[in-house]
Amino acid sequence: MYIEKVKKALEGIAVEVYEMAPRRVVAKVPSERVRDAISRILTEFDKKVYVSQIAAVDYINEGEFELNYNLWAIGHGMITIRTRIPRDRPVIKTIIDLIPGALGHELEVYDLFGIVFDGNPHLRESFLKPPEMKGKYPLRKDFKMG
Amino acid sequence: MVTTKARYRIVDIPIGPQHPALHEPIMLRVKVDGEEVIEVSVVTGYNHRGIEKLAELNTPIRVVYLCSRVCGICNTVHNCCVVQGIEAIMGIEPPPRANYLRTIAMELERIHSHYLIIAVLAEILGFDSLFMLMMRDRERVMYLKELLTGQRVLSDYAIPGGVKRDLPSDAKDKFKKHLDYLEERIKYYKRIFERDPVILRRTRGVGVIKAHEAIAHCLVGPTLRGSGVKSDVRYEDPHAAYGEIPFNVVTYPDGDSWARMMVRFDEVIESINIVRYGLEHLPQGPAVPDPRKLPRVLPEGEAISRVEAQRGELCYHLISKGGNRLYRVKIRTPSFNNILGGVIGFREATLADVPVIFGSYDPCIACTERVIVVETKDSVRRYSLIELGKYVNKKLGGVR
Repeated sequence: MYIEKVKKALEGIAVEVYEMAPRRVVAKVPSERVRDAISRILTEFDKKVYVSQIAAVDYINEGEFELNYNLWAIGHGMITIRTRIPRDRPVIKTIIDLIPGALGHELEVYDLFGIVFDGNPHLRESFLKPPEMKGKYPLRKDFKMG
Repeated sequence: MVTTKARYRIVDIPIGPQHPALHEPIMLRVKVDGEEVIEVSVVTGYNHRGIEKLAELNTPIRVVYLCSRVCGICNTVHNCCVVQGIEAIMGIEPPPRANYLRTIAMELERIHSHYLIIAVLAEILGFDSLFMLMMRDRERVMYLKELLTGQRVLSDYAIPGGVKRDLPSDAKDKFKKHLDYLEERIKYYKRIFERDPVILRRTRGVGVIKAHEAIAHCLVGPTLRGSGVKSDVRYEDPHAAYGEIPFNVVTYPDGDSWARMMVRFDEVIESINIVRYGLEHLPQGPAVPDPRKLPRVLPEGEAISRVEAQRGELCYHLISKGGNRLYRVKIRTPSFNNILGGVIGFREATLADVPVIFGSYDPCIACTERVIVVETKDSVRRYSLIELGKYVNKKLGGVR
């Protein structure tokens, strides 16, 4: 079972590893250890891992953003690296040097949530949203429509 | 460094957002030195509709209909994917017959979508008659889809707990007749793509992506399988009735535009066989739930729903905190990965290759709707990739 491989790879990093559904493993990781976790996953699964998506969630009542790095290990299953960062200082280290294909996902999250990926030189606003929305992040829960 | 003399020779050519070679609003900003491509940046943002925000503001049943409208060509897969996720949160299992019918609907969509992109690529290569012949044949798939779902295009076929309508009693004979015809025709078109010297010279060795690059750049679907990686959601993560239906995962090791198209030819044949098998082994029992009895309130929960769309892995991340709204709906379409990651395929291309390579990814802009840069050769004689390329070089032991 690949959950054992994930547990072994993330030993000492993950706070909790559990199976959410068949072929869906979630690993909760502190935000400063996300890069370590992903590089260990890459090593464990022989680099046959791609970023399926980075799903950011705004938990406004708790004052935090949650980032779900959904990685698909080819031939095994989904590994969700889950972390939380404070809403008033939304910064996390980039992973594009580990997985170049994560670039688009980071740009999307930056554009719609305003979460800064430290070390990503390509970050820029309004690559998705219209230019007049600069500084406004539509997928945050406190964004008012209309 | 680019010398002054060189700078005069480098020309910026915008292809799009409105352009005869591209069928949807997107811009490829191509820097060329003569015929040689030295940099391609993809600029989108002409079609962003804020569907994820809208989905958070609507009831789950409305979200099903909203998500079908993310894309026209692949509406059934979006529909099935979001329904799967909502069912997982609600704890509903669709009946086996509904699962088979969903599978048949998704495979019909794959057949017509692959027919479309192969036809479009033929047109890009200058084979206009081939384009028209294929579009004529594709009409039969649209007819079959209408027969099954009630609509040619936007079908909204899956609903939580089943499908919208059952298979009509006289449909099986019609399916047999048209599937036989489609199989014969696709084999004929495949022979053309295998033998025609012009098609071979325009596509073979053009836009080569190696397997490790394809994975690192997060490519999915036929684009990934065209680089020889055996990754298919239907096989790795069976949904609907795929776990019970035998089929082959098609891969080609070449990694060029030709290989990506050949994957699609073989997948059409596989899909025709899946539809035949599904119709033959269609379980008895109910498939259509009463829509008035669908639950309006969601329990607390989370689901990551995946479906193999025509262009690759389609992924929905749904989070519910209870109540009659989903807290978060994250949609990631296959073209998002393929268009952005696929820029790596433009290395060493000439200007005439750009539409061919881009077409071979089967780009869907309505699905994607995003941006950005990637590949460059910053001097006239020597290649040197910009930041992202440098990362790749360092991490993967050199792409070029």
